[in-house]
This record gives sequence, C-alpha cells and structure tokens, in this order.
Amino acid sequence: MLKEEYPSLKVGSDNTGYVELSSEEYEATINQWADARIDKEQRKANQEALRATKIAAYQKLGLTEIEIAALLPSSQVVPII
Amino acid sequence: MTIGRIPSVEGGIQPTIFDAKADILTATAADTPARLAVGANDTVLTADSSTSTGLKWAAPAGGASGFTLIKRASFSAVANTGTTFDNIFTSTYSSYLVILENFYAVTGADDPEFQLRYAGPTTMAVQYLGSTGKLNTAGTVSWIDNYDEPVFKLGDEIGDAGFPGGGQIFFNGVGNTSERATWRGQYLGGQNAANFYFAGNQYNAQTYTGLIFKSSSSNITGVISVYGMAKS
Repeated sequence: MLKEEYPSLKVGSDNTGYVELSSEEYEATINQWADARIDKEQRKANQEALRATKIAAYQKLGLTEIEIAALLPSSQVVPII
Repeated sequence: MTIGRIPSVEGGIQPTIFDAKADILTATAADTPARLAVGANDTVLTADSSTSTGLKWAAPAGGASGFTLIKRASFSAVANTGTTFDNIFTSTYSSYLVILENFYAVTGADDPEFQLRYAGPTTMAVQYLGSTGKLNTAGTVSWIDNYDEPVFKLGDEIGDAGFPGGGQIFFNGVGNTSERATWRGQYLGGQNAANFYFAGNQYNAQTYTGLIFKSSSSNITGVISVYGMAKS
C-alpha cells in the first residue's frame, strides 16, 4: 500500500533542491514506514482492548458509567470531542 | 529674525556655507569649518574617522537580540530533511533554538520525529531516551514511548495540511565536543490540537552537527528555522 502511495521518495528542501532516494534507501524508508504504521495500529488496538477489558470488569462489579470513568486512567478515557 | 552672520569671537562663518535644508556645520580639521549635507531619511549621524568630516549618515544599527539565524529552510512532501540540516551545530554557540512552522504530514496521525547527525554526516539511529507527554483538548493526559528508540518522537499527531502542527526545541550538548546531546521543547499537532511536551537525550556521545526531521510513515511538509544563542 505504501509503495502504491509513494512510488518514489525524495529528501531535501526548496532552498537546496530535492534528491530522489536510491532504490536501497527507498526500500529502507518504506520498510521503516510500514513498521511504524503496524506498531502504531498495534499499540492503539492494545490500548482499546485493555480499556474494553477494564470496562467489562467494572460493569460486572455493578459500577455506573461515571464511576467507571473515574477509575480509568486518564489516557484511557475517551475524549469529549 | 534675520541673521546675516553667526557671531564669532574671531572672523565668523559665512551663512553661504549652507547650501540646502538640513545642512549641518562640522569641521575637517582644527579651525577648518565644513558643511555636511543631510543624509537619507531615517539615517543617523555616526562618527567615522575615515571621512573628511569625521562623520557620516548611516542606518541605525539594530539592537542585538542574542539570537542568530543559522538556517531557515522550507520543504514540501519529502521523506525527510536529511540533506537540509547538516552543519547547523558548531562551536560558535552552545545553545540552539529550532522552530518548526506549518509542519504536517500526508497522514496527520503520524509521529513527528527527529534524529541527530554527526561527522560524515552519519545519522544516529539508536538509543534516543526521554519522555513525551500529551495533553489533548479534553484534558486527557497520556504519554508516548521514547525509551531506547531509533528516533525521538515529538508527539504522535504531527497534523495534516488542514491542521498543521508547529513547535520549538532547545538543544544543548551539540556542536562543541563529543558529548550527549540534550533537548526539550513543545509541539502542537493534530486535528485535536494536542499539546506535546518533551525532553530527552542521546545516550551516545558524539560531536553532533545536524538534524533530520521526519514523519513516522509518510511525507512531510514544513518550514524549519535554526537559531544560535549567544554565549555572552
């Protein structure tokens, strides 16, 4: 998917000009990007699974939604927006 | 009142020495009066021993800010800025301020990242240590893993073209001698205007000379300015 999105890659700036990455550099960068996306999606999935597990456990204990929100770590509370 | 002559104890200066509005009276040597024509608008009278009158009209010097712009570069849709920010850290300064403007990636949820560069230049791609906190508009606090990483993450939402990010980083321990670089700063990014605050260091000592900025998994766009801060 990344290779379709980025058939070539370049580095540089408006001031110094742009240089296209060699095939080796291209492959290395695309692989890094792929790993980063997979890691990020995995972290997000883990965090959501942990949150869901905690909520289910609190619900079994008969806690209200407000009480559950108060118990969850701030990083696991769903933002208002 | 009409004055024909400027009184003088001896002799006197003829009014005809003046030729135009704003001419001033000066001297080229002892007992040698001279006329100096007015300078351009907004210039100020300045001593200059190399001129015949010892004076000149010159633009006023600006006050020293203590900040010197070393490099400013804009880039559009690139994988990284590795060719752009080499040789910015030198022994001229010991503290540096890096400003990130209008910074965003194709994928707004990417992480904004940087790596240090040193002689070669070689990219340091291991053992970035530090902490990055995230405070979003709902008051939710979380953190981004920055322990023993191949890059340092300024946050986890770089922003996109519609909601670009920006920030500032202060660097020390770079450009002077082989040592562990340290940095601290703040980044605003993402559609939800998350506030990222961070501090970190590079475990491996080197004489660091430059930076690469990048996004974790897509092309980036932005403008970066690097300032050196006067040592005294």
